[in-house]
Amino acid sequence: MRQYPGMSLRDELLAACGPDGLVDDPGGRSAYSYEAALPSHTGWPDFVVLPRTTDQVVAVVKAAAKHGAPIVPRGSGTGLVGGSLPTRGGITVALTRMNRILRIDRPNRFAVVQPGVINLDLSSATRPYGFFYAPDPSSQKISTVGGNVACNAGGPHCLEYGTTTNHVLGMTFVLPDGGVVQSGIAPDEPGFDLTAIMTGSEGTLGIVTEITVRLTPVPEAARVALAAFDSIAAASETVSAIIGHGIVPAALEMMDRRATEAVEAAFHVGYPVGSDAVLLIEMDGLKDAVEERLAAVVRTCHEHGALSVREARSQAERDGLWAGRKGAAAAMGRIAPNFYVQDCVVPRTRFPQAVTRVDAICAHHKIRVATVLHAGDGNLHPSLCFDRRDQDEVRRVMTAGTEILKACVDLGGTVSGEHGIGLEKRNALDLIFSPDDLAAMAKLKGCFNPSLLFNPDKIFPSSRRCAELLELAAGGTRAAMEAGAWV
Amino acid sequence: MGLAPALHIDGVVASGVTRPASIEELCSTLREANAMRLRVTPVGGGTHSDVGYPVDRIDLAVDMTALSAVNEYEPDDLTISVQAGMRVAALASLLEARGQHLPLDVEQPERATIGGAIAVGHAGPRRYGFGSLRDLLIGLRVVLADGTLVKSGGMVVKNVSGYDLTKLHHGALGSLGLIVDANFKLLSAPKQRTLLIAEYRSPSIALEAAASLVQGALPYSAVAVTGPGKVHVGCEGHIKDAARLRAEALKVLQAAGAAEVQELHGTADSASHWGSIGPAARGEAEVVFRVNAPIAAMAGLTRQALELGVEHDLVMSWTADMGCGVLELGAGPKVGIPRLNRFYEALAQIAELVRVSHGAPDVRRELPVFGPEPQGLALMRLIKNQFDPNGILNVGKNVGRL
Repeated sequence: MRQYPGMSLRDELLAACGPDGLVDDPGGRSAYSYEAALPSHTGWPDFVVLPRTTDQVVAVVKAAAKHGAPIVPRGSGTGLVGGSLPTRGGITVALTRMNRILRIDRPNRFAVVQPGVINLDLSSATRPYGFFYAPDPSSQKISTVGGNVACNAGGPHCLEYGTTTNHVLGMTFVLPDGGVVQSGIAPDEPGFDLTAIMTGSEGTLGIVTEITVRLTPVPEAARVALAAFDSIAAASETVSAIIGHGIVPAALEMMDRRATEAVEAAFHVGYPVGSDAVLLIEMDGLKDAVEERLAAVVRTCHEHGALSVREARSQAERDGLWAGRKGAAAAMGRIAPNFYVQDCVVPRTRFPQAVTRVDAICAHHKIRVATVLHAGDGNLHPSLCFDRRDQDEVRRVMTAGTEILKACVDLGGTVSGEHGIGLEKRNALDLIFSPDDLAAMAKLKGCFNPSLLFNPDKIFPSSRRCAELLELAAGGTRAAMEAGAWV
Repeated sequence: MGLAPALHIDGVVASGVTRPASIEELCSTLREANAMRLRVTPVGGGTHSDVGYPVDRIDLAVDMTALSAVNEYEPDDLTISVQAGMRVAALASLLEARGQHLPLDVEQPERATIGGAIAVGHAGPRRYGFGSLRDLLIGLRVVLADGTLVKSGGMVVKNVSGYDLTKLHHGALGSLGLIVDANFKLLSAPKQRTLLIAEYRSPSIALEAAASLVQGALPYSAVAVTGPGKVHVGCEGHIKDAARLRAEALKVLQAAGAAEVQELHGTADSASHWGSIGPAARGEAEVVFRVNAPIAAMAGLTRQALELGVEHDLVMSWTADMGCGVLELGAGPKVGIPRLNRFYEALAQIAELVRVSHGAPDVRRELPVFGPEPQGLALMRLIKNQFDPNGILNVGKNVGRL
């Protein structure tokens, strides 16, 4: 463990969060040394604190600032890009005990929650009132709203409803100097849209301690259909045709053969194994129109050579099909001990090309890949399967992952749709942004986080050029950090 | 840089005007202006120059309207990239031809530009049903004060790649950079657009009818009330959706005692309607106050605000956007600042968020345009200083006179 000079940092953290709010034994800390990202990404915190209030977070942040200790916020640890890993020790602020829904305002359609509230718990709590929280990442049974805000999480239904940033109406956050800010959103609140800046900033600008979210009325009707195809190309053409008809479903998901087989083996919900591509299509809205649009979609599937089309007839059947899709990541464990899930986006008409490129890249590197796609959004999640004990395979997976990102950028896309940049993709940011673009982001970082103690090493490329930009934006305070203020 | 004749903007005579024909020209203009510390104001269609605090001085007005091209439009991707100087109406007709839309309810769409709509954070009544411009904006290119061209976001509908600088410029009133390109996520145009307008004897009845439509939580595209007692309801979508919404809305409107409900069907009428119902669009007011309130409080708040108007002997035109929780109150003409100030203070007693959304420059110079200082103002000041260290872009216009 690192030594922190002066009055004990430990004592101050203890005073801030109490004995049951501080973890510093190796066994306890080890639980916070990894997340759902690649097993090669690990990092140990020196201390873990578990605050229950904004005031406790402020006290922790002030102690960290005084001692020059890095701070890394963390939710449930379901991140896939190493965003919550402490690369330089310091303090992990686990927000899982701030898990209260503070207010549900049905007539005004919003809820106020603490960041540790589990995503699905919020929808479950509001559904009896006829509302739900729309962003639905596949991890929603376990991931926190705060973590979702940090990564601007998406999910299958963001095709219709948009991503997290479209559903956050305001927040309270703690700045690295211990200051507390409440922000709303433009244009209803005057000034710059701090809420939008915080959303997707991956804990590098502040710690969000309270979030006001929009509640969406539960649609009158929702219907799901599952269509099987004998090729990715046929399924892709169907997706284009559906959207070309002016029908934008609530969700439009695709799975390849390997993903479908893994899901069916794990969940037994009736996914058609043996077909090369499966589309899961959900329509929602007013009852009559949903039926009519679903019929049009089913027709389109048949016209494009669907091998079978199955419409869910009951809520239980619909839930089963979604459980399969949302459990796809877990089901990958049936293919290999480890998998590396990529998250890249292309303009939606180019996703058939992207899938072809992904398959070619994986074939070239002799890697088994299972792909799920938010096809309507052009968002691909190829899961590269491997065994971490095979060092050569790990290297090939890493190389293929980078090549996939490059291929998607070449097709006009981007390097992350909903998982974030974190540690893993920070050097991929250069693929889409110029040094000037990154310098503008660094300026913003300097305004919030001049000491650079908040979630260091995340988002920004590790190149010397970028480090200099950050230093410039932060007014040179990084020098003190590098000189060993906390090492 | 080539300078055209002087231009009056928001009560100030611009010493110089330039209309860059290319992004390169715009960048070099900004670079020179920054070096010379010229005060720069970007200008689009000039339909919203009366928002925020008036600037003291304009050394150089930058007319963005020559940059009006379509950069990229792939209808099947449901995305478009256009230059900021493009007129809102031009974009709308381009999209309409392909069965798509970007629901912007701006006043004077033939004049208003896309860049201007983003800079003022335009949000009309139909964001209730379709989402706001903020929700649909997926990427920008902006020229910063020092002439650097920077990009944020992209041409994809999901994107978490670094900080969301796109939304930083939305609603920033041109104080952090000049928007040159904007990328949008598009929507399929509704197959049917029906607009219902019901007239009532009193504002109270109209407000209650509209409030019950909103509480019914059906997906109307917009629900608004205008003085003295008209309810406007947007029933848009798939043909069956629109028919069902129309039927449900008619039940509520008639049960509340509407003598007659006017119906408009089709596209152009109903789409432009929403941009024309605000007090500013109606052009009768000296100043327009904007109040934000929780949607369930809108009917009561509007009634209280109207009573305050009577107490202060004001002639008011008003629009209550019941779905989005925005009340706009137009007062005037020729009221005078002391009485406007008293009315403003009285309004602030009954609502949390009150501001001056439009008004003559002398009024906006005297009244606290943005209401009380936001908590994040210190942070906003740092951001302004980082992005515009020489203080050249629309200086003093934004909250806290940033």
